[in-house]
Amino acid sequence: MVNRGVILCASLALNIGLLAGLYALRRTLDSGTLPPRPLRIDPGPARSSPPAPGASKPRPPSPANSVAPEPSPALSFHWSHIASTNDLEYRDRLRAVGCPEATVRDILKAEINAEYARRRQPLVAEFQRQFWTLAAAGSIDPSDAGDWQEAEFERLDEEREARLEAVLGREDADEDADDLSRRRQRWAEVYGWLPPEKRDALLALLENQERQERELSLLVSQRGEGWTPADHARRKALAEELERARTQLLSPAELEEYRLRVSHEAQWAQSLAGFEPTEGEWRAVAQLRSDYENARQQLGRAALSKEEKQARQKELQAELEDATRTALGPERYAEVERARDSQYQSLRRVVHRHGLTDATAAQAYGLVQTARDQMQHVRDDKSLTTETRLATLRALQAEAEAALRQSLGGAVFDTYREYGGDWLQEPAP
Amino acid sequence: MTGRAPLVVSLVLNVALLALGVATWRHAARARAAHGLLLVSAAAAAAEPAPPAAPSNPAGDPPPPEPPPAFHWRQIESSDYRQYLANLRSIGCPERLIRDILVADIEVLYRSRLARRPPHFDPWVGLDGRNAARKASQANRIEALREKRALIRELLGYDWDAEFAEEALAQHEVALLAGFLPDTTLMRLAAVFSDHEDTRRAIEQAAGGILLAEDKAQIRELRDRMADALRQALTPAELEEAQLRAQLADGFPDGLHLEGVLVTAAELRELARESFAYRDVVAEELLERDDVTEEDRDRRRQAFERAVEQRLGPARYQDYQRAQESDFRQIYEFTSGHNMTQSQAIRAHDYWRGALAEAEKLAEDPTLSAADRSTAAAVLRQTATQRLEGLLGTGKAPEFLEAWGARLASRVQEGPREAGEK
Repeated sequence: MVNRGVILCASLALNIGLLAGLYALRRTLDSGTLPPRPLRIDPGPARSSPPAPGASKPRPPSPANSVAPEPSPALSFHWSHIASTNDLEYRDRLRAVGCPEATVRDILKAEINAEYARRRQPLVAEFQRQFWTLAAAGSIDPSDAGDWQEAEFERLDEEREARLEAVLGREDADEDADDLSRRRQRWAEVYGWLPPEKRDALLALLENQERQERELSLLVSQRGEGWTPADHARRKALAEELERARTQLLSPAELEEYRLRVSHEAQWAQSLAGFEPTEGEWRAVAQLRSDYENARQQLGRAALSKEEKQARQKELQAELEDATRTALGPERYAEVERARDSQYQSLRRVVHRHGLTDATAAQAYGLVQTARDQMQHVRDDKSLTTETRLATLRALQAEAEAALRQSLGGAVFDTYREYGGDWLQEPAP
Repeated sequence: MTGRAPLVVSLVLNVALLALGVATWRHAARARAAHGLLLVSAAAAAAEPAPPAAPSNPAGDPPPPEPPPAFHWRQIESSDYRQYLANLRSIGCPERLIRDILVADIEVLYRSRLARRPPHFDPWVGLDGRNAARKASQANRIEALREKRALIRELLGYDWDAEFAEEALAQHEVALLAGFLPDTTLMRLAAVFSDHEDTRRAIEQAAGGILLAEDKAQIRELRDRMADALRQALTPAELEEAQLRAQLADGFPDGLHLEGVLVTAAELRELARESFAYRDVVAEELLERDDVTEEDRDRRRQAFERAVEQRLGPARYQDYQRAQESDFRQIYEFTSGHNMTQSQAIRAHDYWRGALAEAEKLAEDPTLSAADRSTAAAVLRQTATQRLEGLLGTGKAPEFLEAWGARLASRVQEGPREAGEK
């Protein structure tokens, strides 16, 4: 009986210990790790001796709070076997031991930069010794000491850059590749609506045009005489070539969709606060606006007087608004109108900041609109003297302030006054 | 049976916990190994052929490389940063190289999260949808920046920013002005400042640019923490030097000039120190502690002027006052650029002040007709140009001297100014 009691106690203690251990293990695994390092090892066979068996397998990251890991099995190799004062030798030795190309670049760049920092150091130290004397004599600008020993620093910089290029090649080649890869990603997103085979073909066209444009720009920059008319013509020809190829590649419907998406008219809803159109609403209005724009351009070319054109332009504008109202329905159209108003936009931002809803913003916006309409009416009334007009405006403003404060609450109203309620400043007559 | 039940349950529980622990550890290890393998495969797929051989070294072609036997970089590569660091150390790689290798590697790891790539939207996505996505993308970027800095700090034990090292420290202007501080201290300062800026940006972005009282309080607190961290990063001597240089760099401060004033290095340092009482550049510009009223500012400026007078004495204080005039500074710059003496600059400036007063008198004279004014302007212009040529030497930048003469003539032609314009 005594034995069973002892065993039970020990087992319970073990229960607790195991539970605590499991908890600690999960915590360590869940939160205490570094992100895994992406390996840079180049593919293909090793350029020298084969790796040790199993050496290339990734190891699980060690917990963050663990002791420093032991290095891999003892190697007879030492850094001094590859380090060299000769850049090319250093680079080739690194490559020979299978060091990834990106790491070769990092190492040589670091070595060369460090050497030039060392060579620059005596100048920097001299400047520190003399700083206050130079400043007192007016020999340096204390906010920009770039002139001091500029020639010597520039000489060192040029030497460093030439050495980096000699051993690693042009760095902007890497930047160009990165840039092109980013563009490729962006194009893939922009043309994501096309069937995959068409999208890939279009991406190839765009990439080709981009490459030719870059080659042309490089040529112009190497020539060092700026863009000639022939260069401009070549660039124009490249753009036209791309347009022709695009027209051939896409079906008429796809081409129309492409043109609609990239048109200025497609952006009609992008700056509207609180109005998110459906795809159907967007298409309907974008098409109406596109038609309006075509009609406006035709009007510009029509043989009409300036007054006739202005009158027709007004009609076109009114037709567009009517057609938009019909396409969206009166309620949605009213939402668009409200969303276009910068006063509503700022009021809505403030209201949202305080965690309130669009309904609060809409209610307060009604008050703002009423007050502004009344104030405009007073401003338009030429029968009033300046003093009377100002007094009336001030009274209307005070009334609007009280109403808004009540509608929004004191804290929200104060924020609105600070971030958007510009019209609540001293009224202009 | 009932008496044995607790023991049985406890023993079964022990076995289950042990099994669960082993399974958890194995699962995590397998997941990491799989992730590592995926990374290796991705790296292999994305790898491009090595670039063509670089041009030969000016020092001559190197002898063919002789790699030591039985070593391949794979033996030290690891998907675990700590392991990689330990491996690099074990083969005697210098610490500064380890730092640069790891930091460059971490830059690649975070590159895509840090790229400023605006999110793509379908054209029917409205402002709210766009703003929400942009906000999330900015927040993700800020988080990635913080993570990256923390990872570097954790691995190296200190802060290091590759971009700052490349772009700021490599520029000799920065190296000169900040050269009184060790690189690691500069990096610490940059990290403190970046941490502060990122956190502040995160607060502002979360608030959509509308800062409520609690946001403002949070920002103030953040600034105080930054001030403490900056102070901790510097020794008292470094802090003093940094503050004095900042006073000097910021126009000493606020447009105070010393052109043509003879001061020693020690005097300049003391003047910079005295200028704190007028305006503390670091506190006001960096820490945004600017709660000084205009009247208070004027009072402080006057106190500073008295301190300058006391330190420099009457003659040099007069030079100091002259240096605050922009006309004198232009003349001084001209004379300095042409290797002339300071007394030439002073004489030319004295003459210029007299001529300017004369032009002012003529301009304000209501009895002059337009024709009289024109004649007077031409005479004054010619006299001034000739006189300045005499004082500063003929043939030296005639367009400069002409411009001064023309300024006088133009003032005379302009006629009387309204009371508010004077």
